Order: sequence, then structure tokens, then C-alpha cells
Amino acid sequence: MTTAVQQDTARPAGAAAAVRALYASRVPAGVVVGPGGHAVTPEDRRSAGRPVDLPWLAGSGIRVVAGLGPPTVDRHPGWLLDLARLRLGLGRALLEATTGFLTGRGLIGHQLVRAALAEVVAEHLTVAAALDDAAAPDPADALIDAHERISVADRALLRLSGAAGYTVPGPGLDAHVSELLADVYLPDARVCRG
Amino acid sequence: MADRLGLLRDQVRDWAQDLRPYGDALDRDPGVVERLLHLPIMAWSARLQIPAAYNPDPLVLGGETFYLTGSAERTVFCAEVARADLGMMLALPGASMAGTLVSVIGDEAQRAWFYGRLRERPTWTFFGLTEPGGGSDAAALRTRGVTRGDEVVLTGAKRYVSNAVRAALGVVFFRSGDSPLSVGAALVEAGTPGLRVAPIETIGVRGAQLGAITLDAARIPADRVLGRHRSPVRRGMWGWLRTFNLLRPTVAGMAVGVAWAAYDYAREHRDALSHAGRESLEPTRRRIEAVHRMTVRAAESVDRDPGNGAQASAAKLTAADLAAEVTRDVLGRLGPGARVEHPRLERLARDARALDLMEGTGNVQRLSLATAYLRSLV
Ligand SMILES: Cc1cc2nc3c(=O)[nH]c(=O)nc-3n(C[C@H](O)[C@H](O)[C@H](O)COP(=O)(O)OP(=O)(O)OC[C@H]3O[C@@H](n4cnc5c(N)ncnc54)[C@H](O)[C@@H]3O)c2cc1C
Repeated sequence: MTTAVQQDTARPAGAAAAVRALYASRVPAGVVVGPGGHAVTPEDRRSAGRPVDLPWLAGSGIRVVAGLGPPTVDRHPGWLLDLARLRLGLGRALLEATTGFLTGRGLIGHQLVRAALAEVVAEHLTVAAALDDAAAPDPADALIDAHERISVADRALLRLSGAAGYTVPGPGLDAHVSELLADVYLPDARVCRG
Repeated sequence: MADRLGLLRDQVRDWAQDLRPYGDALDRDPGVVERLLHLPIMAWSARLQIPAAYNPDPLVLGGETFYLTGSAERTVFCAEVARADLGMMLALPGASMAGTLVSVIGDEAQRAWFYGRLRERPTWTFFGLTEPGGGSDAAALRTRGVTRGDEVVLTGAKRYVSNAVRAALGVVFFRSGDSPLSVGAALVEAGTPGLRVAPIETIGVRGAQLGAITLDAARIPADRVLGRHRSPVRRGMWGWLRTFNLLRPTVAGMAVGVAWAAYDYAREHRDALSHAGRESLEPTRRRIEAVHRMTVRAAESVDRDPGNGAQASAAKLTAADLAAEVTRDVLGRLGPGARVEHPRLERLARDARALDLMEGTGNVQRLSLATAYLRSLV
């Protein structure tokens, strides 16, 4: 299944590779345009529009484009579901990296740390269950909720990563790319709440 | 807010406006700050934060004199500058955190030397505490200081040190033995043989230009060890806990400033708000106002008793969460692709994430606050 591939791709290889694999399997040419006329693509994807230069993304393999005109996301059925799986994959990879980091630092035994990890694990399980059942038409509210919860979990993991999660390059970068994907492709103003 | 602090707030707010146009450029190039030294906010940041005994040239507003050494004054200052731009706030020259430590534990000669250097020209300083092995448990630091005659030889590494790359001098924490009492700090100059600084690129507050400091048998004069005139208790933990208590409200102030900045942005861009995003901003305003008030109170409480940082912990914890929350909320109100269409807000959201980490993480504040409460300190 393509979607499983996206998730697996996201885990070992990071955001850029995951976005590249998603485009390769779902979008043979061009780019998927979000509701605001923006796209997040692999850096070598050609498209019209205005490239957006986000300083922290330089060298990440990700390209952001604006001014692309009418959205095309509806022409790509399953796009938001694929993106949710991709983002969950990135979130799980961040969970593993953060757990490794905290173990290495001798911080894993602190109860506040464990509590925060437990919340993330529970979020991921809830999202995974929602995505397995995502039979509803795209974009369903449940899918949007799942995206929001992935962001909530990522933010908790970034806090647990300390300053190491705030550097470029660093494990926090993929979480920011993941949030950018949600920002560009989700349909309404609830993207960043929660 | 007391009238006195209101005077300061209004003046700093006015000066800080000069910084706003440069926030984006600083995000791309930390060197930008060095080209802005002519701005009044830069000049005053560099000249203030120096105690009265060493500063013949304080800021006078409406007959009130400000040295910007107390926590409340600094908190007001930081909130207003961060409201303009957090990256700029963290990139300002001046005594900053190192200055607070010097004022708390430095001896007469050390203060005169340090503040004298700062008065010569706008100078950046650094505060080297965090190490590669972790920042939260500062008492576990590993950098070694070994006394050899009239020198101390420093060996170790520091990470994520703000302004380390552009600073001319700063403080480095080290230990001279294994006990908690053996932790101390010393004044160190850039260019000291054996001291190297490499920039660390970050996701947000890129203007602060964090640095990694390596100390490879760096020799400093022994009289640069802060608080040599004090008992080991008073120059170690006692001194730095007070320093952190005094500094923490300033970071809370920065967080409040970031929350205001996001709120201001939403108001200035009302027309761009999505349909769902037009729901009233009034609850947001009330919440920021409340946390702002609590933050200033916390700073005033630390000024009264620098030994009690409980309120400061509460302010830092609450304000850092608030900054992250409000920036996200406003991004959400601006609809799909807000991070692409609204670069200033996108930057604010990245910047806001630093606030949970600086001056003790959220968890560290939670633990301190609970302990203080249980000891009836709050
Ligand atoms: C923008 C910025 C500027 C900075 N400037 C400076 C500077 O000028 N000078 C300087 O010395 N440092 C500076 N720092 C570093 C900062 O002080 C550290 O990031 C901070 O102290 C946390 O340390 P750490 O990143 O190593 O995380 P760690 O200490 O490794 O913590 C990782 C995670 O574990 C949690 N944790 C740790 N201990 C416990 C516990 N006992 N119980 C529960 N949870 C726990 C933390 O909350 C965090 O979530 C700066 C950082 C940033 C982001």
C-alpha cells in the first residue's frame, strides 16, 4: 500500500525523503496546491508560482511555493490522509529519537519526562487508529483532528528535546516541516489550535 | 503598572519600533545587529544595565532615573523589545545576564573592570553555563578550572550560548572540585588562547546567534574568578540561584512581549483573518494582560527578595506557554498557508519555541514552583 510506504519512508529517512516519496507515488507531475495557493514539494519539483525563502529550510531538500492559484488538493483523493500518515511517521521517528536522547542524558527516569512521553504515545495510538479507519470522504473532520493531534504530540517532543531539538540541522527540523505541511494543506483555521 | 515603570515602558516601546523593520533581515543574517548600533535602543541597551556606582549616565525620564539593573525594570524593557522582535532582544549588546552575575557576586575590582569595558563601546557579553551533556542540571557541569599559580586553566565545553560569537567578554561556569561547593564562574575574554567559539544555527531567534564554546586549557588570571572575596557557599550556588531568580522574570517578560506581538499582528491584519479566525480576540488580550501583570509582579517580588524565585518560576512557565499558544492561535486565524503568507508571524512562532528552554525549561520551573509552594514560599 502506498500509504504504508509513506509512513515507513518517513521514519528512517526524514521529512524531505518522505515528501519526495509521496510526490513520486502520488503526483507524477506538477505540485499539489493547498487551499491558500501554496505547495510544499521536494526541492527539484518544477512549478509555477513564487518560491518562498524560509531561512531555516535552506538546504533541507524541501521547497515552498506561493501564488499558485486555485487549490488542486481536491483533485488528489487521499492526499490529506497520506499526509497524515507521513506526518505520523515523522512524529514516531521523533518520538524514537527523543527517547534515545533522553535515555542518553539520563533523564528518562524522571516522572515528568515519562508522563510527557506517555501522552505522546497515547496521541500517536489515537491518531493511528483514526487513520486506519479513515474511510470518510477527504477532508473529513476526523482527519483534520488527527493532523492537529500529530502537531500537539510533536510540540511535546520538541520540548523534551531541549535545545538539541532547536538546532539546524537537528531532530526538530522535521517537526517544523511537518507543521508546515499541515499549515499549507489543511482546509480551515483550526490548523494550529490545540 | 506603577507610573515609574510606565514611563520606562512607553519610552522603550517607542525606541523598539526602530527594530521592527530589521527583524526579517536579522533572521537571515545575525550580522545585521552590528549595523544597527546607531539606534537609540541599541545605544541604551549597551549603556544601561550597569549599577549606579559605575554608571554616571543613567536614563532619566520624567524626573525618574533608570539604571535597568533591577528585575522589574529589565522585565519591562525586555517585554517591550520582544514585542518588536525577540531575535533583536536577544541580540542586544550590553551587560545582560553576565552583568547580573557580576553584580551579585563580583568584587569591587571585577565590577569596575567589567562595567568599565562595557562603557568603552557597545559590547556584547555571553553567559556560558549549558554544556553538551545537558543544561537543566547545571550543578552537574563538567568544565574544569584548575589553579596554577596566579592563573586558572579552564578545560571543557559550553553549548547554546547566546551571542557567544560576537561577544568580547563573558562569564564561564566551571568546577574546581567534585562537591557542589566547588562550582564557580569566571570572567573570560574572547581571544583568550585556548578559547574557540563556533556558531550554532537554530530554528528561531536566529539573531541571538548561539555558539558552542570550547575551552582547551584556556588560561585566565586567577583574579577573574568571580566572588573570590566570598565564602565558597556565597560565590557558588547562592550567587547563581539569585542571579537566575533575577533573570527569570526577564525571560517571562520576553514571552509576554512575543504574545503581544502576535496579538498586535492579528489586529493589524484583521482583513486577512479567515472567517473562523474573526472570533473575538478579547479573551486573548485579557489573558496576555493577566500574565503580563503577574510577570511584573514576579519581577518586583524578586527585587524585594532575590532569594525567592518562586513567583519568577510561575511567570516564566506561564508566559512561555502563552507565547507559544498565542502565536499558534493567530496563525490558525489567518487560515491555510499562514506560515507562508505571513513571514513575521511564522518567525514569531519559531522564536516562541525558544522561550520554553531559556532560563530553565518548563519542567524545571514546574519542579521549582511545586517545591517552593510546599515550603510556603509562594
Ligand atoms: C535561544 C536559546 C538561548 C540560550 N542561551 C543560553 C546562554 O546564553 N547560556 C547558556 O548557558 N545556555 C543557553 N541556552 C541553553 C538553555 O539554557 C538550555 O537549553 C536549557 O537549560 C535546557 O538544557 P538542554 O537543552 O540541555 O536540555 P536538557 O537539560 O537535556 O533537558 C531535556 C528535557 O528534559 C527535561 N528535564 C531535564 N531535567 C528534568 C527533570 N529533573 N525533571 C523533569 N524533566 C527534566 C527538560 O525540561 C527538557 O524538556 C539557550 C537556549 C536557547 C534555546
